Amino acid sequence: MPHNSILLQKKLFYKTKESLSSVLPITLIVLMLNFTVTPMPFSIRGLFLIGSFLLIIGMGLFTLGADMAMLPMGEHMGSHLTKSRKFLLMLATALIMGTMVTFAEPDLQVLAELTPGIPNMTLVLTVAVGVGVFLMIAVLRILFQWRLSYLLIGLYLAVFVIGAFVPAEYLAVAYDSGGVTTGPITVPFILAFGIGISSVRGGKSSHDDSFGLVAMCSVGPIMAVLILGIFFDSGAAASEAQSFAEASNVRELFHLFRGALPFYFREVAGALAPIVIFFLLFQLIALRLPVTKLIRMGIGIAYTFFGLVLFLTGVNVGFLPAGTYIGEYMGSLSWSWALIPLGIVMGYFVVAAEPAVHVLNEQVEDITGGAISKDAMLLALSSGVAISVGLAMCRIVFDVSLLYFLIPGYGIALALTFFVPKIFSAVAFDSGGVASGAMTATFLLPFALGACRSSGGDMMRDAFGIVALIAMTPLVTIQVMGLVYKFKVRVTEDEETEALGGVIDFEEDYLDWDVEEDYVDWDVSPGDGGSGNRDV
Amino acid sequence: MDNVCGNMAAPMKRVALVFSIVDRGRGDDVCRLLRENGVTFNLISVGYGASGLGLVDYLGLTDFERDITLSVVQADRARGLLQKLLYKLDLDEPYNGIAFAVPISGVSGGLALRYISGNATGNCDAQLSSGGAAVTGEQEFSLILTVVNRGFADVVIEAAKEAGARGGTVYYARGTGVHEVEKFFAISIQPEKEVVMTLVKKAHVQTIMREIVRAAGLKTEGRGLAFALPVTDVVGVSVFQDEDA
Repeated sequence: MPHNSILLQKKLFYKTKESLSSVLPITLIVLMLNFTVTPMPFSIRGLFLIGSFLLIIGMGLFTLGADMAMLPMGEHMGSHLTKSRKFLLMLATALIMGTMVTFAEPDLQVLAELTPGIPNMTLVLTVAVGVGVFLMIAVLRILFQWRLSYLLIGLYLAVFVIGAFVPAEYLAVAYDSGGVTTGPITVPFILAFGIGISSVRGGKSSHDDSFGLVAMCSVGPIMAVLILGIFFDSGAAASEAQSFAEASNVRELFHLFRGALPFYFREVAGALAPIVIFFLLFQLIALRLPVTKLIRMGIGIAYTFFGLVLFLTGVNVGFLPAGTYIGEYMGSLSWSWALIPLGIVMGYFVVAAEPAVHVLNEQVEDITGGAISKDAMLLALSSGVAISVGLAMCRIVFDVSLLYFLIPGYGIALALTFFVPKIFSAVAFDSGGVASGAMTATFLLPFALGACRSSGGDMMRDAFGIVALIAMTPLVTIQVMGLVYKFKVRVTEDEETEALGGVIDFEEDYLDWDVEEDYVDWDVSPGDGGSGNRDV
Repeated sequence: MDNVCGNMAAPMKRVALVFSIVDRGRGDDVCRLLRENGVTFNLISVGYGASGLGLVDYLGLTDFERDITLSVVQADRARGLLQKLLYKLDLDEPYNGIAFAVPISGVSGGLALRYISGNATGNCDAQLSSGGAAVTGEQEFSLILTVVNRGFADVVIEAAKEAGARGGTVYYARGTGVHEVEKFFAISIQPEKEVVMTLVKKAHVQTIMREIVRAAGLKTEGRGLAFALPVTDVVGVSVFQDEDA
């Protein structure tokens, strides 16, 4: 059909543009580094370029799939639960979903490997159940209309108190876990779940509740790991210098990617499976969506799956070595302070390549009816992450404790919740976990590890913690955006009142052209006779 | 008393509601243009363009995020403003968007009218070359609004297309029906709806509505109902023009 083909072209153009604009900036920065300060060996450069290509395709497929499947699935389940008004079912679903989805999150397995002293399975289970419980609390919050900021203040206070009893090596890993567990599969689903739950509720400020679920899912793991840290002894520090497979020609490069594909196939399939199964159960028992919708969702799931496989393969095989290499190279220079500006620049542009960020930004734009636009969100997130990577590099160069940044950072973020419109706070606390996803874990963290290793810092203490910082700064920047917004709205409102001020004595009667035969007086107040002669 | 417009004593000008449906992000352009022309009451909301259930539709490759804007303009200026929108936003390119005017029959009072009808004083004779080829005039089109349960918009659009419509725009809404709003702990619950806007040739309204009702009417799971609004002027319907040629 010709009309469809016009639409098709338009959509493909739009999607390509979106993918390119999110991945190309960071690619170009790395290439520029390659030709100036940090010349990379053939193998790493080649892997990086192929990886970028996979990222572009993967990102396009993923965002398409999120729109078609992950978001509608979460929304339908959330809204159905509220409509059903079955309290226990709602809580049970939140608990089980949260636990299963987190359990399957690939990043969590990685975190477990890196955490010293705790058996992997113990850690994974604790964190997963932690997320489940906190998701349940988040649902309770919506139902009973508790204020999100009070809840967060209480939880973060508890986190800092428990943190005082935990060895320093643990702190960084614990805070990192909050950012790590909210990955590209969890985020869209939980976001949509929250939006679904609050989409059926009326009353004022209903969309304030749409966000805030991911926020709770970020605190959960921090708490869980900290509590574990009290009980377990952090013995041997992990994290040896990683050695990367080398490739000497293009064929070997491709071979490396092909070798990694099956692994990510399994990972992503395992992570998607619980969500899909749960949704199918819902559909069979209660939802009864039209078949047409299901077909679209099925195709959307396929997009999400292949998109994520390509993305994760690209980022793990292609970006991880480059990140490590650049970090090590820069860290060994005599002017290693250059890591700080470099970190700021990379941080600024790397957020755009984080898949879950696109999903969050789009949802925020939709729910607020465009009042908080995608571009504004990206700007706030980019500035936030730029600051945090800069700070993380400062820590490595000058060896500063993480808590000097985290305590004031969270203090400011929590204080701001009293001054900005509620929705900005909810979005802000959600965005912390969203900003720190796959890209952070495979590019920025290795970059920090590399820099730390070659400049002779303590990796456990100095390099980890970058995720925690990335998960913190957006809380501040997005709420600052909220302050600006609030101020501007107030100015506009004042102007409107002023504009209306001169005519405030008009009656608020109904004017009907059809009854009054195309002629209605401005002034139809009863006593006036409607003579229509009125001077103002 | 010779200055007619803006004078309190003058016969009141009719106002019209101008809808424009454009690519996401361009709603701001629409509002800016209208504001420059003295239209001060502009609302933007988000919607989704959807085109049905063909193969590429299933692949998710033909639906778009849209902005829906609503503006109140003086009825005799509607045509001129639509023309400006047409040129400024290239609405003659297929699928770039459409804009149309729906008459308003009443307003909640003089203050409200003053508030919404803007500062067009001294500028109200700005009606452009009326009958410019690009604006499809008087009463040739109608706007069908279909309200269905969440998830059934695709079904509505496909049905409408089978009966001759060219697509539609969807936005989400919460609705209350005959039942009272139900309470669940501290929150109240309202059913979710999707509203499908479809611009159709006036002659096709009946057939298309019948088809929509058959596919997603009150007796189906979609629980849909549809109504039609008169549309006075339209721009951006090149898709329809192809069809007639």
